[in-house]
Amino acid sequence: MDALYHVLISPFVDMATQPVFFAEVVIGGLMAGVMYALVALGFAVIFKASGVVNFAQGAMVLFAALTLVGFMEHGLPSWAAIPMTIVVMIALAYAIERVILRHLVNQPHIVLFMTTIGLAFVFEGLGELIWGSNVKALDIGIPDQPFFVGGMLLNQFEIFAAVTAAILVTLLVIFLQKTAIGRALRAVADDHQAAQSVGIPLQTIWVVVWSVAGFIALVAGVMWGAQSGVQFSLSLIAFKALPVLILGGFNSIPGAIVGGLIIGVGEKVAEIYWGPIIGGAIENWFAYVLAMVFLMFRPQGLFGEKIIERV
Amino acid sequence: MSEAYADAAVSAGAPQAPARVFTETLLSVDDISLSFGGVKAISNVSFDIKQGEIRAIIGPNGAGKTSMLNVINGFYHPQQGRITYRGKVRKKMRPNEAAKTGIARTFQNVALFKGMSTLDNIMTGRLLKMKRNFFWQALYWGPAKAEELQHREYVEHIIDFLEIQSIRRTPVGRLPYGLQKRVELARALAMEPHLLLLDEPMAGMNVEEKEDMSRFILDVNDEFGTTIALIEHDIGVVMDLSDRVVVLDYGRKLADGTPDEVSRDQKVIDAYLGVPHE
Repeated sequence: MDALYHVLISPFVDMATQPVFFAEVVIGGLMAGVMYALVALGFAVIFKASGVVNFAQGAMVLFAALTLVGFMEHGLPSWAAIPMTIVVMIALAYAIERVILRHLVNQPHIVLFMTTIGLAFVFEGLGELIWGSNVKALDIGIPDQPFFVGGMLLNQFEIFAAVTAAILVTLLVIFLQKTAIGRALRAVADDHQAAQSVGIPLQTIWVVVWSVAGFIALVAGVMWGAQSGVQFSLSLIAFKALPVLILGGFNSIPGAIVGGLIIGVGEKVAEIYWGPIIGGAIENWFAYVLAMVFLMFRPQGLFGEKIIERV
Repeated sequence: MSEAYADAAVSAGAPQAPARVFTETLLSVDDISLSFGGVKAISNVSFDIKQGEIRAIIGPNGAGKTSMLNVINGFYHPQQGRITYRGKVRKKMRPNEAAKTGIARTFQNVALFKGMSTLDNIMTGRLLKMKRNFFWQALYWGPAKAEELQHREYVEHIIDFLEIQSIRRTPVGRLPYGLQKRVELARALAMEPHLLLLDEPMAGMNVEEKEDMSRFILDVNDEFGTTIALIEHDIGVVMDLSDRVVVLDYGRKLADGTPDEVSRDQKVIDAYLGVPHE
């Protein structure tokens, strides 16, 4: 009975009796969620256009952050280093299309997926080769002052991250949903042959999509790098993005955001209120368990397209 | 000649129609050879497709019919030979470039965008007709929207034409095979093609569906003036629909002519239709 009380009742009592602290936890969770969502967005864009999870997205985040820091270490101001990094990411997208994707037209999805695993290692290796493997601090002048709103401790950096994510998502949604390119992307993801036969230039679409994914990787890399330093473990945040995508639906841009927020808030709340009961560390596995539950009951995610197969 | 055509039509049970005469060449393939590694798919095949006609390509399985469509459509690049399209020798091109020049096609095993609705599938056929590029579309809401509506109107016209109003919103993955083939035809038509390539448009259909599809093909040819090249195994259908037939066997051209001429050709009878019983 006592155990049940601690699991089912006492956490909610705590929430109700200390609403300001609860709000702080939720907001902290939302901010963490925004950071996850930034990474998940890159996956969603590539998935939309190829039906494949880009395993290299995490490595791209790392590579983009490393490149930016590298340029800045060579004395470039951030207003010059950021556009230059964008150019590098676009050049990479072009190279990936030219060297890899062009030769894999009409191949099954699993082949493309394996390719992205290879790409992840190429990105990591390339990053280490060019910029070295030390942990680097990234400071592009994002304000990082804590302040109080109604008794809650907030952080300027987190607000900045949230606003950036909101702008990014709005742009992506307009780009992907409100223009004909969205339809073209879905067509390319469904069937290469058919897409080509209606005149969709696969090559152009891929360069555009990987460039967009590269840009998102840069934004995510800047945010994560500024928060916790640019280091090789950055490429591992890709694993945190997977449950986000399972929750939100792999091919949905809004899904990536909502999924990120749910997981961010979920794991923070679980850690704070239920963590002490089992000795903590809930944050590490909560997202994956949530994703598993979703896979059982709603495999297409919250916003994903339903998968229809005629048998 | 008209007598011969009528004869063939009667024998196939179709209403009597005068032979149509076409003069202008839309596309010609000259001395095309295509091989994959050591396997020759097509050897030295030449034929032409005239503006406005319905041209059938027939032959046993593995004769190189689909390979031929893939060559015309830009999926395959022949090792040898020349393609002349609308009066110009065509350089090596990709399928999306061929689409730009007005060549649309359907596939043997239905290549639709399965997760998308019938309407969205057909709308993809309009992508090339959309003038504003992607970035302008994102910026200019008004004009881009107006353009979308205008394309939508054309698509609705095709939907009416092919009698698929009731499945407009249905994801095509859910449709029965016969209707999927019809949606695929609709998507190709949405491109307003000069040349429409149909790869076994009636494969796997029952008699009623075949009759519908035959009627649509004739109507498309008649109303839109679209030139059609089709691959079909049902000889009755081929004899009814086509103005001229080219017969392939083991990658070589066996015969070329009106359905009647072809069906009387001894080589064709031997290789494809079977040896007649006396």
